[in-house]
Amino acid sequence: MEERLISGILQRVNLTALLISSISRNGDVGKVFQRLAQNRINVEFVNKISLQNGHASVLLCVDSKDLYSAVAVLEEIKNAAHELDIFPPARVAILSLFPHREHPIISGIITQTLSAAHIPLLAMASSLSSISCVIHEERLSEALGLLSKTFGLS
Amino acid sequence: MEHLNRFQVFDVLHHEHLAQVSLTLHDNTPLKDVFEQLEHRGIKIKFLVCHRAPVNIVYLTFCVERSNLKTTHNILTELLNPDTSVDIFPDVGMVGVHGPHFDEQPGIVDVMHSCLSSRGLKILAISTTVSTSFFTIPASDVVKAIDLLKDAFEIPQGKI
Repeated sequence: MEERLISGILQRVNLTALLISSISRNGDVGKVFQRLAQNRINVEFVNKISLQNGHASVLLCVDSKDLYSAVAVLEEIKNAAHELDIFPPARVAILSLFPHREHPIISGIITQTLSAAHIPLLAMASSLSSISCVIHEERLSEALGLLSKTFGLS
Repeated sequence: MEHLNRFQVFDVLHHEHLAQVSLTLHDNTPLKDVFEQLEHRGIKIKFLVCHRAPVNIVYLTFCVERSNLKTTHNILTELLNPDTSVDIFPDVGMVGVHGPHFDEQPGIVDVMHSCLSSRGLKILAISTTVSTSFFTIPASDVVKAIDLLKDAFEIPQGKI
């Protein structure tokens, strides 16, 4: 019997994604994490990518109830003369597929499946045991159904 | 380092002997082909972060075993547009913490980031999802980073 690539999908909702760019790699990223923690804002998903120009691009997902506090923190850091661009927040959901076992093909299938259905993949990240994708919350049911079918879970 | 009220985590994780590849892509790039070829050549992805940026750009950073870097680079050269921005760090490692509280307790990423960056460690990429947070750093800093993280977090024996 063919082994299933994925054995389960976990979903998380009521999240908002915040994209920050043109931020200095260590100092200002650290300031963002510090001020969010001081304001008791939990960051459920973090993607930080260093860019060739010495800056970084960071995507954070916070609970939607913390959106206004999180934006206030980012604006405060920006207003303190730190260089960063903040893009409009997006209401999102996260689907985490278990286990990935470091197989690249799983990321390939995810990108292909969502792209074919014109579901924007806002972000993707690996963890110890899962690969998580961030999508607009209004496309959650559709994405979950498609990925479940593609990976033979339904 | 303050030892009171430290976050409890299951373990501090690490991986050396990696190479990191960072790509800046147009968002219509068929990533499936790249991932398929990596799979076909038996190359595992040890770390991956990817997100969309405005103006139809996708940033993708991933790590493979250093011994697989040449094959990985050949695949990218073969499949991607020659104008694609490719940034390679041939000697990286990753460190991380695995814990049960990430969804519930603010500040874990802040503790990780500050304990490494305050000692001058260069953080190349971060992936935090579910219950794991991984940072990629230069390979030469991995041993130091493990010590710093073990000092910053409490790792109790048995159940947390």
